[in-house]
Amino acid sequence: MDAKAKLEADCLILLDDVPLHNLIADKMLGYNNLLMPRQIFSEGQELLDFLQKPADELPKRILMLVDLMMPEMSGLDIAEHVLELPHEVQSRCRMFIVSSTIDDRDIEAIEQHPAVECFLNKPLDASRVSDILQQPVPNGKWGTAA
Amino acid sequence: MKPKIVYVDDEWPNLNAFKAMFRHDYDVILADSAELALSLVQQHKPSVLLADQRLPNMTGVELLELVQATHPNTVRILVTGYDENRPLIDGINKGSIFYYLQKPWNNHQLSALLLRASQHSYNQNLIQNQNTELLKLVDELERFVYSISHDIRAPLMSVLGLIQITRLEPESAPRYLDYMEQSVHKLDTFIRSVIDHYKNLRTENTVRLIDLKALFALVIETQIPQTMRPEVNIKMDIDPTLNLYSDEFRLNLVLGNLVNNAAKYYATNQPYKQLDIKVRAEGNLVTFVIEDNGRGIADKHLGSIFNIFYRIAADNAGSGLGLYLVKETLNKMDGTINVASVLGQFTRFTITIPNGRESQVRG
Repeated sequence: MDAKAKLEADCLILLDDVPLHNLIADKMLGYNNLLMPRQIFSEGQELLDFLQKPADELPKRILMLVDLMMPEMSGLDIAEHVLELPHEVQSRCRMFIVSSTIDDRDIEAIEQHPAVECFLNKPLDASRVSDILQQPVPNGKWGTAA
Repeated sequence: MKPKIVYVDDEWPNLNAFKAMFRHDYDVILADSAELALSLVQQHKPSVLLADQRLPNMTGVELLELVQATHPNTVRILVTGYDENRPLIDGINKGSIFYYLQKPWNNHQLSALLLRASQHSYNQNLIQNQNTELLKLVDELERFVYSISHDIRAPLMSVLGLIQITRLEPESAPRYLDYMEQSVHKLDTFIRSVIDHYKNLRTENTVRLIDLKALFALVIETQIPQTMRPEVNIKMDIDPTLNLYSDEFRLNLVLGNLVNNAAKYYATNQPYKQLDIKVRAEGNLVTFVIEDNGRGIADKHLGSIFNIFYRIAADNAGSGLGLYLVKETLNKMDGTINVASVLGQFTRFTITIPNGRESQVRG
């Protein structure tokens, strides 16, 4: 498939330990016409369990908006786990980290992580998500050539 | 307590003369070999070590060098009868000597020197202790500044997000206003905890006779939400003979946090909510047991719950400051805390504090 293809996610995952933050993100995305099916989680393990599903049950194009600071598993811990997933599963996942952090070290660690595509500030600006999704899909993701 | 001085010399007349001269002002410890001196330094951690340069198995400079490595706060003085500069130059170059003294010494000069040396040692210790305290504070400050982005910014960003969606969905404003109120309360609780923490760090204990019944009544009123109170079965068992002298601010902080946690972590499906409070005196110690039948804490968390900013629950109910504050406050009160818990059944905190005395009450 052409690496410049613009694709819609067929599954949007929201992961935040604070239910209110998931609610706000969900509403913001809705008001920006990002209406793809949702999976809403409050713990990293739920997301990892979801990604362990058999390939034929797993959506082809997954967009994950993941909080950074969570009690048991941080967003960056989850990113590490994502790197250990089979290549086939990794290629289906695009991961954005959403956080209120303004600490440069956090932002640098997020931006440099190979499993994380970008850092987004809270409260979630859904128009930015929309803009990013209008850009060409990164190589190797969502069925594009590596 | 008199400052300790170790003097090492292989000539006993010198050792005896030294002791006779300084035993009133100092705790003088004598050694006739470098090996003995090393073990005495290890044992007594003296303020000052005086070493004769000419010792049987090693030179005074070599001994002082060894002591510099293991006990840098012991002030080192080299004594030598030789009119030669080599050991002096060696010693100074290697940084191990505070002062070089030539035999025969002048008693007044030596007396002034010992006073200066012991003060120097005291100051070194003081600086070291203050540095340790300072490093702890810097570490805490660093973690605090880091936490600001989460514990202060996160509730603010929630409010901002709620304002934005309220504009888009004005008909849902009452619900979003409730959420905003919760976020503001959360932020306020965090700020209050930080203030309590610094008040605990900075103030000394103010001992007074505590009216435990009144204190618990206040704790329950302020820490268990009014709507929940009728649902909680509180059993209070306070030793009626106990006269507790303690710091009320700190005790309130400790008990308040524990009762607040009990209220926060009752499981929603609990058939009934139980809170057992027991206070017992044993000798000079007073033990408080606070037990609830709430959600409990998993074993894997029990070792970490008193760490700063450690959070267990993925529902954002806590800031990770409460139990850290409890532990720090108890440290300041010379108290201890233990926790026992079974997930889904109970959590029991046992705190022990020393009972103060009536004579400690000021004013």
